[in-house]
Amino acid sequence: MKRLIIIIIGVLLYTSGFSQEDVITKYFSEYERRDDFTTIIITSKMFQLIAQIPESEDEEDVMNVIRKLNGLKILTSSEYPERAELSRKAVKIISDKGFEELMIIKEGEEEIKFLIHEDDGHISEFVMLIAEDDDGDFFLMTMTGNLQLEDISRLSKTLDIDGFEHLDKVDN
Amino acid sequence: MDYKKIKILLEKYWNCETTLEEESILQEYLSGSDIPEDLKEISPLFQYFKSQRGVKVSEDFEERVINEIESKEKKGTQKYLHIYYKVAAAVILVLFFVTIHQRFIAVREKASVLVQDTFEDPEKALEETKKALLLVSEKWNKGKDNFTKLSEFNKAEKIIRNENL
Repeated sequence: MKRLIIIIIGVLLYTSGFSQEDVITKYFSEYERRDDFTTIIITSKMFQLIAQIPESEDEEDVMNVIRKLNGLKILTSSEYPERAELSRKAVKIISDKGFEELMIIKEGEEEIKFLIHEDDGHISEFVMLIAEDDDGDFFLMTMTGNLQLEDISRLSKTLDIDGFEHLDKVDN
Repeated sequence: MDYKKIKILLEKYWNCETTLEEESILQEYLSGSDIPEDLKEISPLFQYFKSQRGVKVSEDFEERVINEIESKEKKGTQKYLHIYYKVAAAVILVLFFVTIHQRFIAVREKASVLVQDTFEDPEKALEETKKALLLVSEKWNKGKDNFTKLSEFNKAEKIIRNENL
């Protein structure tokens, strides 16, 4: 009987080990498939490939952060009719699942929320939600990995300085 | 039969060295009426032995014993059945978990088909990641700017208060 219980616990742990997924995969997969939503997915496999790209010197800080990521997902829509409602729902779902609000920026109709999920002292998931009224865009982004809070603030410092030249690159 | 001889025989009896005849002598003597004072204590034992000599098992004794054994054996098979039940339960349980696990894997595979990279080129994925991080940092800094503004406002307020004092 004891052995049986141990086996059951083992099986449960084994299966639960699989279920480490980001919030979009977990709670918003129904929207991912819709035509009026745009999804950008960068998987851990791709991050492994990215890590092999030789970096230029000025990008060291950015690359250091990117190497710590193992997943990036963006779910966005400018066409879905109930975007404001969806934003409210998203906030509720995410903060119900053990996420902490890091910063909320409210500017006119736009509200930006940063939420993190901490795991043993590091950030396992970082979520940015931009909620607007029904005229604006819905934007939900999640990064999974092994992040520190300093990474994000350091990143914003470096990207702030030379951010625009990166933008040029992206457009090309 | 003198007292000394009985004493010697008793000694032998306690040492389990007496023959059957010697034991019957002891039984006869000690179940009699004329017993020395110091042997009276053990006389009931030998009286009992003597009285039990005539007892025989009844005719159907063997049959009863066999019946008893057979009924025990039946109980034994019941126990075996019990073990089979346990085995069956364990098998069902294992099957249950295997099915759950397979279904889980199936769901995952379906999910992994859905979870496809938007980009095939790592360079493009990197640029998109940078773009996303840039957006994060832009919004992040916007929030921080407001904090700085707020702290400047606090500073100003302090200065004004100091001037008023």
